[in-house]
Amino acid sequence: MNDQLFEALDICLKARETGIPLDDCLKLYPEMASELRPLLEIAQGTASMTTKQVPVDAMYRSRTRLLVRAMQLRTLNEQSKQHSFLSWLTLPIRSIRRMSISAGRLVFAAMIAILLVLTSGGLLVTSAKSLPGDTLYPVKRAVEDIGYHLAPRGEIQQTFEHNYIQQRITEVQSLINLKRVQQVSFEGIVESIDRNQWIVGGIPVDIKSNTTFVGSLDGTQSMELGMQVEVEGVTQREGWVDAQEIHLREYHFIGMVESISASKWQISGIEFQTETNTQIDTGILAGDDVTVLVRSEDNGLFALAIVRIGHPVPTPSIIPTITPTPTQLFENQSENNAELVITGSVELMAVNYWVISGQITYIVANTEVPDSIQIGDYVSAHVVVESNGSYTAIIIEKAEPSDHDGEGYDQATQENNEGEDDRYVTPTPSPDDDAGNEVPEITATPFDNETPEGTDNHEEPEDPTETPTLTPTP
Amino acid sequence: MSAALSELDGLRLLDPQAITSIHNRYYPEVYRFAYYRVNDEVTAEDIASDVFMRLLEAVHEGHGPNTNLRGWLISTTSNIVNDYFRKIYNRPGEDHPEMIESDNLLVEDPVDPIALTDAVERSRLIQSAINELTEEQKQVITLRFGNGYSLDETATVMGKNANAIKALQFRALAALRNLIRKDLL
Repeated sequence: MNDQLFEALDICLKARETGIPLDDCLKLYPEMASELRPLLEIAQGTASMTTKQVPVDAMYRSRTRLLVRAMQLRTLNEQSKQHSFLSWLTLPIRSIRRMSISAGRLVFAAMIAILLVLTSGGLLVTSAKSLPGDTLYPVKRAVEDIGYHLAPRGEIQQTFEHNYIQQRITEVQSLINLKRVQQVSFEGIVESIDRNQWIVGGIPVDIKSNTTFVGSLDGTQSMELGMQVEVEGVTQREGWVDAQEIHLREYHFIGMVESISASKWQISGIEFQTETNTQIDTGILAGDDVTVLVRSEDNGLFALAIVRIGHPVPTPSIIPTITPTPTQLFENQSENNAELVITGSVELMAVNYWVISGQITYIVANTEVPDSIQIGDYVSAHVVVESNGSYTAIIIEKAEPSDHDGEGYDQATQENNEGEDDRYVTPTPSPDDDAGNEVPEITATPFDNETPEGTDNHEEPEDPTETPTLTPTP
Repeated sequence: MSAALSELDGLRLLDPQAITSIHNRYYPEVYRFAYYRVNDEVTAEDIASDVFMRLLEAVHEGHGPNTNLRGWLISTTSNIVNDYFRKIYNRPGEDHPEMIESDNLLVEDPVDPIALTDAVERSRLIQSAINELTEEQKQVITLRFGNGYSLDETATVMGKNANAIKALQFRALAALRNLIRKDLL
């Protein structure tokens, strides 16, 4: 009997869901109607209390919270491999989880607020100075991660990222100076390749026979100068990093456009994702040959720039153009390099390049740059013109806007021009042409001249034919 | 994420795509379950969010769900809701959630004050009665009438067979009827 009642109730519930009136349902089981009716009425009442709509913004908030936490856990996972004793770091989170819902929410918000305060120079100064292997180092990284994810997207977030990349390099350098053996990971430009001895972001890196290379498109270990890579390895007391893995992060790729969609480009069989800040030449069509500045991430290949082959450089853009290849200064300096002086306002300070009044100037490990320079400052930069036309800075220093109007570099330029020395570049554009123009002022000085003042007494070169005439890019 | 990885595998690897996929798929069900029980949007949002945070923590600590992810989520939601009510009842002098009037109750004619009062009263009674059911009865009522699960879906989530669920829902409705008979019917 009971089973029949259970079955009858279920059938009546299904019938009610399809809109059949209560009395009609009960006609199916007249002998049980007296028992079924109140249950069906209760069921109707309880079903009326549900909600059909789920608030989208609540769902979004929940998902964001979840992904941020997942990111934190991933970071903790990586760090716990090195520091298993640091599990105390997760205790606050566990404590929050055990709290009441509202209290947990309040504490979570308070933690975020506190961390924000601390990132702006508060109580975690100690952790900010910590190095990989230190107890407080995970705190420093967690603060950085939160700061990065809370920063507005776009340039500010990029600046955060660049700062953190530079921070990792500084940490590795400190570990080497302290002769500490420590697992590290950092990202930088390949500045020098001498068989197994590389320099990445100013850090000497020793490539071992078992070093793994990741991210190369063709699967080979064809790394070149100027590529941005991530190095995972161990610092050595002798002053370098033994590389375990080299991840190729940024490089150039030349190919033919096969298909274009809103967020994906297919170029010579490779799929690249584009983002809103990807620099793309206008009018590129399928079939065009292009150069892609590629950023390799764990979740795919991202195009930082897609330009036609033959794209003029430089462009007045904050995105680096494709052709420059920064080099290590001084050691491999050839006589074919010419030196220029660029003056203008600093528009962007990235890790490996600055934009000075629209002119991209690459920064290498031994470029002399005072810490006091900030975006917007008026500066003069001594640069070397590379064989591919890009500029690599030797020294950058603050300048007064009036410097170029008086006896400074312009005077030297005038003398150089009068002397018709082939090593000197005709300044283009002339500072007198358009003082308010965004185009940087470019002035030629001889390469072997350390100071601008020295150009006054410059002697004629013994063999001008060894130094070809260079034409600065307009 | 590789297609070969299941959702749970992706979750264990803390893969953002897997996490997003799981969240998007199950959040509405978790939210509806919580809302049905607490009848308050803000509280339901907090509970639903906490459920997924607990999932993440559990997986990270190596004791999350192995197969029945949906069942784990619903069960956890139910536990958090119970904790919530337990704490509410332990706070003397505060309004209990079933006393809070909601505009999403059994209102047949919102402009009729008598109908509105009746609807609020009916919902209060039902909600109060549901909280007095056994844990399994609460779950079956919430899943069947709050989330709109079918008999089979309810059986899967609760780890029982369909016949057991039929019996359980009968007893749950009968218990509800007994609890609110004098006041409601």
